[in-house]
Amino acid sequence: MTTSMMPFARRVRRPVATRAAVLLLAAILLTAVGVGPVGAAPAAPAGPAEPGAPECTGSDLAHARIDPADTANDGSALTHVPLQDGSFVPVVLVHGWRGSVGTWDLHMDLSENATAEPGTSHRSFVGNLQDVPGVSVFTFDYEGVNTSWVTDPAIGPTLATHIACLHDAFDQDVIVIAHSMGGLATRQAFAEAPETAEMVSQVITYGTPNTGSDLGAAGVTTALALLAVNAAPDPDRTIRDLTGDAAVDLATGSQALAELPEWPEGLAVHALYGDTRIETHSLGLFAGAHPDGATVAMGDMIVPTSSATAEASTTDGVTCEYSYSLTRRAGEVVEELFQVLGTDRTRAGNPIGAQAPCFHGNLMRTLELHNAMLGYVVDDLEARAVPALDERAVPEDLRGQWCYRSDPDDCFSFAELMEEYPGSGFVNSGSGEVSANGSYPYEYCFQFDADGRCTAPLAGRGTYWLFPAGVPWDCEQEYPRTEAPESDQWEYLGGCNPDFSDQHDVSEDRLVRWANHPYSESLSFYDEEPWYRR
Amino acid sequence: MSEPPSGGRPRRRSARLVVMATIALVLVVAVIGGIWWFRDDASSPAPVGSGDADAQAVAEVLRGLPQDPAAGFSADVADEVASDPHQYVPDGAVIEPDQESWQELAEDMSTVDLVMTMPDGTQREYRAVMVLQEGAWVVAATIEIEVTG
Repeated sequence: MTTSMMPFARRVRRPVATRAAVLLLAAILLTAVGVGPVGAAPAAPAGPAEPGAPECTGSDLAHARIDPADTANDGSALTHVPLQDGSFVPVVLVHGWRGSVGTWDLHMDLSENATAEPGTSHRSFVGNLQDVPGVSVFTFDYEGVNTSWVTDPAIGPTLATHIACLHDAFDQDVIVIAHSMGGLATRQAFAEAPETAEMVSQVITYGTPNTGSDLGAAGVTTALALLAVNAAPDPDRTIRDLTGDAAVDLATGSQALAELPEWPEGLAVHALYGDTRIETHSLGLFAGAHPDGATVAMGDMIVPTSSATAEASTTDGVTCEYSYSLTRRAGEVVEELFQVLGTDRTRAGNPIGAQAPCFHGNLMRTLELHNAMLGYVVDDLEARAVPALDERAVPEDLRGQWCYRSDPDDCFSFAELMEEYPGSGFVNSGSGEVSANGSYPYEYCFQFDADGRCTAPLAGRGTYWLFPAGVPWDCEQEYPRTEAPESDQWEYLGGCNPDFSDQHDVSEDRLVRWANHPYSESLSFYDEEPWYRR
Repeated sequence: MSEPPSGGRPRRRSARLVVMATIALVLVVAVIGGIWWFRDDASSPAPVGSGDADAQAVAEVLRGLPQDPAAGFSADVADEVASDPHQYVPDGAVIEPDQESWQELAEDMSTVDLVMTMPDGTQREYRAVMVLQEGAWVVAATIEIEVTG
């Protein structure tokens, strides 16, 4: 993975850049035709095991269904698996200009390695994301207005609404993955509702023209229109798209781009890009040929590398090197030949063809970029994951967090105790027998000896009393104030001080641990505040 | 401050031209290639516009290059060519454009294939990138066509 050479825009003078722009716009039209929708993923009804957010989904935001063809590595059905704490993280996929949610159904079958034959990935783009524990994939669809600029109410503003909804529904920061203009739609969403930037942990972009594309810098010419229409299978639509807002606004230096706020400061933006380089050795001026020819950096053939990586926190690119030459066999017509440079120099390849890993429309099919994307997602989820504690050794009645009502943040769990005190555990597996007052005592030993017995001094052991729902606690009834006979002062009981009886809510389970010596100087019983299960 | 090396400016301009012309050509090929790839019938795209008059004008410019090479190149390289015009188009060479190969890529950019017969009789084939400057077609760059067989 490399960084591109000098940006295309700085290498050309405006007149030629204009011509280049015209031709590039034709190219993007063709691209859109070739890699466009291949069957939009329909919104799937959220099944009971699916971590959807019905309150957020609708005609333009769908919870991506699991395609039956996307299976686990062992061939079994793919299922949504939550994070260890049971939660899911929403991941929103935002397509680009002239795109649709079908963009994300693609499989990875391209590699920048000129000698590689990567085959086709086992799962689709969406399927690989769904295979990551904790990920819940949503697709944002603005196909109906996909040639409008990102300020269209159905694009940037609507995306902002969905990001906020998903954030609230999952109580998790959202991850956005965007192709091309989808990244600009995300920037517009943050501009519409700045607070949504705080609801997103990271944005991963594929070939987003942050500073524009050099296509269409001079608008649409008749020649271009003819060229594009000639090639497009849907001429009427092509003409409409050529005259759409976005075709002009996407151009480098457009007013619309100048008005679009940059990425919010501090937001993690991971830019994935294609870096196409084309050598032409036989270029020159007639007999005065330049022996070294020329190499030009073309970005992903639609978006210059400098635009795709502008303002990004990190960049990951794929580089594709081609040579270009003209050949003719005697008596035949001239042939144009692109060859993929690498160890295999004889292989032909079209830098905007279906097998071009660096081409704008193919970036989501490129293995190296997909791996980088998955890495960013997995790292994000791992950073959020709360390590699950092993509660297998904890009696079922005592599992989970126990907290004071007077201070709900003051909590503990037996699993935490076991981690904090290795080797500790319940005596007799904590098989509590019901006591006279209806509670269940569970004796906990903080350190067993080598024989598995709890021989630690009193401070090293303790009894936790579980009061199941319905069982009351009346401390003064348990420890009444009585006179002590002179023969045995321990028969004297001074009642309870303090007394937490009134803090026992009998509608819930409670847990209490009294001190090993719960008597004060006045021989009052020192009651303890009960914990409640969170 | 040191003086710029002699001849530096023309070289830079020439390098810029090369890049510009390469981009133009690559784009042309990419687009045309794309068209071929996407079209069902895989046929060659039709040239844009009628352009007979322009094709004729381009041919006349190219045929006249051996007599006055400096006059037929774009402003970006005119100085460089003027310094040694016959390095590029030898005196006595004959250029014969193939008007059938002419393609208008945009209103002011086109390509045409040609054969240049050197004074010793050897032949070289090129594809010339032509640009329209101040109402006249001039050469921006060429790519040599490798002839085999």
